[in-house]
Amino acid sequence: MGDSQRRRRSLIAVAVAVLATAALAAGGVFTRGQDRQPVKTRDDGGVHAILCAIRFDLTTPYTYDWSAERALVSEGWLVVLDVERELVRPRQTAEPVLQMGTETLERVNRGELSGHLVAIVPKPIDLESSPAFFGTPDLPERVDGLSRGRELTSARARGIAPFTPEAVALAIDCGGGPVELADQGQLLELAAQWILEYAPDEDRRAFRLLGIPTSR
Amino acid sequence: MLRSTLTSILGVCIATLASAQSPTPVDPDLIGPPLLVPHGVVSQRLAGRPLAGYPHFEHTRAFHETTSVWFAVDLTSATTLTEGAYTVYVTEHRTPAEWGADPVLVDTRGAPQVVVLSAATIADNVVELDTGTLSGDAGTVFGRGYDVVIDVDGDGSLAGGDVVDGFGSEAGFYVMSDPLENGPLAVTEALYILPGPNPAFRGENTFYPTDIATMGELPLVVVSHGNGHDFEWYDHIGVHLASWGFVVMSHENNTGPGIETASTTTLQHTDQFLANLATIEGGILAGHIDVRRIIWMGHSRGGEGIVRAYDRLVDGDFVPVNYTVQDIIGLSSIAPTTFLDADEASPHGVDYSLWTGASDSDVNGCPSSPVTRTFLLHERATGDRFAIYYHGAGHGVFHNGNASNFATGPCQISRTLTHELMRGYLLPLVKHWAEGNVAATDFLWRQHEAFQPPNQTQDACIAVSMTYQRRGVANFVLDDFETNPATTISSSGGGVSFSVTELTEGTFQDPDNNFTHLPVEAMNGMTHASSDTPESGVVFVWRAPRFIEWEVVRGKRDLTRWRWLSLRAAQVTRSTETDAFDGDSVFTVSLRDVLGNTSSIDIGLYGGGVEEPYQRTSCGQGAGWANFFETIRIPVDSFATDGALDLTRIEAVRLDFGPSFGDDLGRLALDDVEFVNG
Repeated sequence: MGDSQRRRRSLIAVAVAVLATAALAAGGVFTRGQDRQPVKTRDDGGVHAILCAIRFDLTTPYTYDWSAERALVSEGWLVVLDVERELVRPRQTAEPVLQMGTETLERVNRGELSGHLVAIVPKPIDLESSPAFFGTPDLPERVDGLSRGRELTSARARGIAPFTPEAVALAIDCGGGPVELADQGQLLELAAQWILEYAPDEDRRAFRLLGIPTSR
Repeated sequence: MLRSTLTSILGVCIATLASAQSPTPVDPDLIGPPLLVPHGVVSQRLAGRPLAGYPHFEHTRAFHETTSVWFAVDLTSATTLTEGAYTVYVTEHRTPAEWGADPVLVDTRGAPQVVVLSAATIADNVVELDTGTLSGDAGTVFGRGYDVVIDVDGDGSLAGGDVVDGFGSEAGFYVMSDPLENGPLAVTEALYILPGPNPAFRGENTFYPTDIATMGELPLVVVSHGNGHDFEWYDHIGVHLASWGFVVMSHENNTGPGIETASTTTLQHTDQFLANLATIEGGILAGHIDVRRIIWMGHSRGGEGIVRAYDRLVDGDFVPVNYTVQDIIGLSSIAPTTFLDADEASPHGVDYSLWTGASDSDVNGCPSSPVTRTFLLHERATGDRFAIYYHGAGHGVFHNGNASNFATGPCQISRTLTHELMRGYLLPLVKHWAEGNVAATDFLWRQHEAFQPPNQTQDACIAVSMTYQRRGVANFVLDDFETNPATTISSSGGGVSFSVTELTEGTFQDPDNNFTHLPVEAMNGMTHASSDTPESGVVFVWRAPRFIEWEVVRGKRDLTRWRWLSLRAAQVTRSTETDAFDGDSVFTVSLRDVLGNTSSIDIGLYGGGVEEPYQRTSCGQGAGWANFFETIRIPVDSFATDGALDLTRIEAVRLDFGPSFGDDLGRLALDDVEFVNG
């Protein structure tokens, strides 16, 4: 059994454990993520705290849909952010684009009810120097590096600061890692576990990412 | 014996001729005046419904169950009939070949009816054929066809000289099952995860007839949801259409990044679905999907995504393995966004439909952003196009998820009611697209006030407006205002005269970002055009009797080949005239022949009129939301009723407004004045 296979089996085991916990938790209601007190690091930007973070490397990269460059993702961060719910309430028109440093983030879940967003940072940026914030409404797929740079400059001018080193340390402590994963699929399985933990109202989305069929 | 022999000979003749004519049967849309077909049977429109004023009768194709079917003959116009008594049959529809094989007349009502025709006016020759007892049950075929036969020689068989409404591929009329109800088929729903190129969006929810294994190939409807929506929120569409013989697949959609990724998801899911038919649900769908008949439906960002997906197929930007661009026979967008320009997201020539609500608080229709101008994709469509507008419907009421209605404004309608209203039009639409159901098109343009399913919920807040334009076929466009920008010349090259005031010809684009009425803004409330979607028309005002008249150019004056005079009109929101009137706007349409004979018809006779704007505030000062165009169609032959004029030599089309012609005052937008069939 190779490392990737072991990791996959480990992930699946974790997923099964999480699902078992869900079954015991009266209708799949998880409380840990909701009970955790967000670490308030600043007052604006719409991103209140970083709750969990794990560095990842992918053996097989994938194309990133959440920026204009359509770059390949081979390493980065998986994070859980505590966010302003109104800013993640889905709309059809342009939404505030979630950015960390100079990167747009891939939002894996909605986060509308929980306020917890599981997101992928497509590069291994320095979390301690990269402010997270919601920028100008747009479609992420057409936001390029120039725009992101302007947004970051604007965010800094608004006083949006990076997470504190303590907050980042706590988040990394939460996430563990770093982790080496085979591909986007495994990354999404890990994200699914965090959805089950931090945004349990979106369990159906998580199950689908885990490849577990749902029924009515 | 002699009669039997003659009948047999006639039968052989009809069968032979029908066979020889196949596959180009008589098209009732093209028959114009009564047509003597080769074997002596006369094809003529007979069935319809009475009107409260001239022309007293409208020949119609579709009737709801439980509603009366009427018959009328105008002996002053071209017909082989004369005054006297005739035996009239209502029969199950037969093709010419079937008539040839069996010409014996069998009345479905149990017995034929004797009708006495008068030489006076058509109003004297309007007769009720059925009080609503005829069945619309035709299995999964929407609408049951009947023919009306006047047995001129009274021999009980179809013979030379008899007059038939329905002698061709189409029936004389159709009785439609209730489109609000599910069809006859039991439905199975499947939720599964499909292997695919994007592991983030693999879920599919498919609805199919439970007995599909015993059926042939069925058309496929693919549903692509909107941003923050869920692919499990379209059961109301899936169950309904599957029960009528469709397979409906709703898929997870990658809408968060934008329209391009959404389009990719639609393209890929359609391909993967077709590639995996052997494994989905144990392979029960394999061999039962007609890949040549695929319809894409999308909601909000998904509604634009399907148009972008189609555009990419046209451009060759995406090459699917298991289908081609020709296999996509229709696009149907629900409250779509318009992020992309016309060169990126256009339905091109494929059939297109738009569903939108005036209470939508998300894709809200305010001109403050091009993204929310939900009519733009429709205006870009160059094929047949249909748009329907529900007052009081929000953005979220089109799905059945437990999420916000995204609605604002007065007199809102519920999710349940919206779904009911949508079923009444979606079924006819897809039956027309996928099965060529002609009678179903009646649903797409006849005024909702006059033609709605008998069991539809009655609610004072219901207001439904429709635009239906056949653009994929040759029409005679009198004036679409796209060429010849001078107000005195039509796009067909004829002269235009008018006495209406403040007439302005231009693009249908509100010049500022709100709906506030300003005297200098003729195009206030218009959200149908943009810099790359230059849809044009005219806006004008009347406060006293006023008119617009178009010359019909030489070479185009024989109108007998056209079934309808069609135009689309909209009341202009928040204007003084519209606010003062506050109701459906009506006016009078006239034709004049070269001898100076004029025939005039009040559009209000057909029910409704041009709907008033939805009384929603915000987006500037005042009340009244975006202008919505409503199609008005008047049968061309109705203008010749009672011998009023000569349809082969029409020199002018005229609209009269104001006292004695319709409403006392008003401000209307007008577009696409044309003669059409189908």
